[in-house]
Amino acid sequence: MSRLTERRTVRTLCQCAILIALGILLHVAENSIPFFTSAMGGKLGLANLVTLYACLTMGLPAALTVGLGRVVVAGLLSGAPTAILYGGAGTLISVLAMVGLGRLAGRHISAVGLSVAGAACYNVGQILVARLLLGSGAVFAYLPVLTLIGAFAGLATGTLIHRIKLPDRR
Amino acid sequence: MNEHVTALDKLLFVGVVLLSVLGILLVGLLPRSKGEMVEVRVAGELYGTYPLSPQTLHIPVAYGEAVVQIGPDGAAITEAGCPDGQCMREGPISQSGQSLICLPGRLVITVTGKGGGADVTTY
Repeated sequence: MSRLTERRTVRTLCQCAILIALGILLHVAENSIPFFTSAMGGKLGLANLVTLYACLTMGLPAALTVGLGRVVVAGLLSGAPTAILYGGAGTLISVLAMVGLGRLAGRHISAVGLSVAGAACYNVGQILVARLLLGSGAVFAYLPVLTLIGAFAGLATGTLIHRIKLPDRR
Repeated sequence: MNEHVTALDKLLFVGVVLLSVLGILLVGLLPRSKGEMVEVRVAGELYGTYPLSPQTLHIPVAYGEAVVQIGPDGAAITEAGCPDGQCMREGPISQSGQSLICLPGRLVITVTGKGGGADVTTY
């Protein structure tokens, strides 16, 4: 491995670690404010800020690492291991969708649109896992409620990221 | 990626909101009738079916024990044992097709009509 690629690898590793730590912090902070957690099972999802940031600045492998890493550690910390399955599936689908859509739509889309699309895909992933785990199609009745809350949550997180000056993609 | 909010951004947001509202309306407009039975599922398995008449059920779930209370207004989860307790804030339910869901406990309570719960899984 050349000196340069080694430096890049170390930098990516450090960025992933910092973003995962930041994501865990946001997750715990949001969960400790009851107002944010009580809306019909939907929530703001501040921690998804770091996933979105990684999608926009770091590429698919790093974005998946950040998103899934945060979900696993935060899930273990909050004492609800099944949350890892819901959050994991949601994150996987939303990261794939955001990175894919970002490449496809190019200049026709901004962080706001990517965030809204990512939020909707996150909800679809959650509901698919719920269908598998609960064995009842009744869960699909919750999907439109979640995507409605998710649209506004995605708008909020997307707007926050939009206000940040993102570094150039390296 | 564009630095500014684009037309596609707005279209995506409005599209998701409209589809969600449409979905909520569709679920709300599903034909309902007075339920007859309560179907209890734990972790995907049918745990039992009970008549919709006043009684208290104790159901073992991942987080200990859930308590389902069936009263004159229908069935409600009164004790879930799980950290968030979202399911305890909804209900009681009494119309066929309605359900209460406890995600952490993997518990689903569905009210069904006489002919079983087939109408529940169609949407």
